Amino acid sequence: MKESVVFPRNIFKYIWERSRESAEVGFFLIGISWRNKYIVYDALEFQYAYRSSTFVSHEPHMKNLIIQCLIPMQKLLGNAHSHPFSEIPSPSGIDLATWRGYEEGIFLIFGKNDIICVKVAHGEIEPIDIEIRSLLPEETPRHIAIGRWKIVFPAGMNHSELMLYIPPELSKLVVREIELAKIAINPTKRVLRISWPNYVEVTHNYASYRIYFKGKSDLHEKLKTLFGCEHFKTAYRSSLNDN
Amino acid sequence: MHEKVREKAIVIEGEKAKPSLPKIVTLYFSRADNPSKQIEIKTSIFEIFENVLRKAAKQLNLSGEISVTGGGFPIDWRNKSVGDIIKEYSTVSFELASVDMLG
Repeated sequence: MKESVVFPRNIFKYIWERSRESAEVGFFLIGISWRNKYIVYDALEFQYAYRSSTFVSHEPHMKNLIIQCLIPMQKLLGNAHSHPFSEIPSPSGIDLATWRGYEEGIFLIFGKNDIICVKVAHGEIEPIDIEIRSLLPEETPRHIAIGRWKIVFPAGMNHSELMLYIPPELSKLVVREIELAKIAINPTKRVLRISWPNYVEVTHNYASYRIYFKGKSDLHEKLKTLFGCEHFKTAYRSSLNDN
Repeated sequence: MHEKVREKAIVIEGEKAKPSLPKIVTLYFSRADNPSKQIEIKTSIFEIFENVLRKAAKQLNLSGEISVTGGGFPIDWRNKSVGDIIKEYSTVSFELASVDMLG
């Protein structure tokens, strides 16, 4: 079956409108790859380190932070950016070098009148179809909670797919949180005491993020890096509420 | 007098509890976008962290500007030794990601 990128209409419209500006804009694309589809759940605009009409780059730690905050099975699918002065866009040398830095990803360029969408896998670049529409019921995200952990998957995933994906994805999250946890050893009682990291869960468009933090200012900084100063609807749940 | 001795004993116990770093350590680096791709680098704690970082980035096929996180937080590695970084961030595992530049 032919592969395609599924772009929810509201997210696509937002990027299209933002790309009408005279300076370039850049977005990270968040979503899930499932069967033959790359389903986009969210687009996070770069917190710009540099921005002009011909060049754009993001604040260095933004990409790392996004990857750390994504609830499995969501992942960083790729990026989208604009070429405000091209009628029909084509990738520059800088674009190609950045795209090839991803082991696998989808990339879009928004021109004045047209867009291009490509898939990059192991250095090979090829065009990929794009579907701009509302998400189908089976493509919408659903959550499953196992203890303090959570996984996101498309509602249409069947039982055997879930059995295949849940164990490795869950283990990724557990390993991540053990790395962030504080572990105290009591040698006399021969026990480990684990203090799990604090987090808040934020929903932005269709994507869910689990943001770990040490204090109020750290949380504020991370929210700003991820979502900027825009007003966003958050459905959030804090680990602190558990205690 | 008795109280003074007791106070001193506690301080010494506290000092003993401070871990001292071995001269040679193993650092673990992985790509943030692919954590299964991990490499190990054995190095001296007196080595400049930037040199180790360059080596790790090359082995992980990352080029250009690199962002580093460790223990969930951005690492400020400029002008610091490996020992300084381990003491400051209490970790030997680091995730690297390239910075996307588009034009």
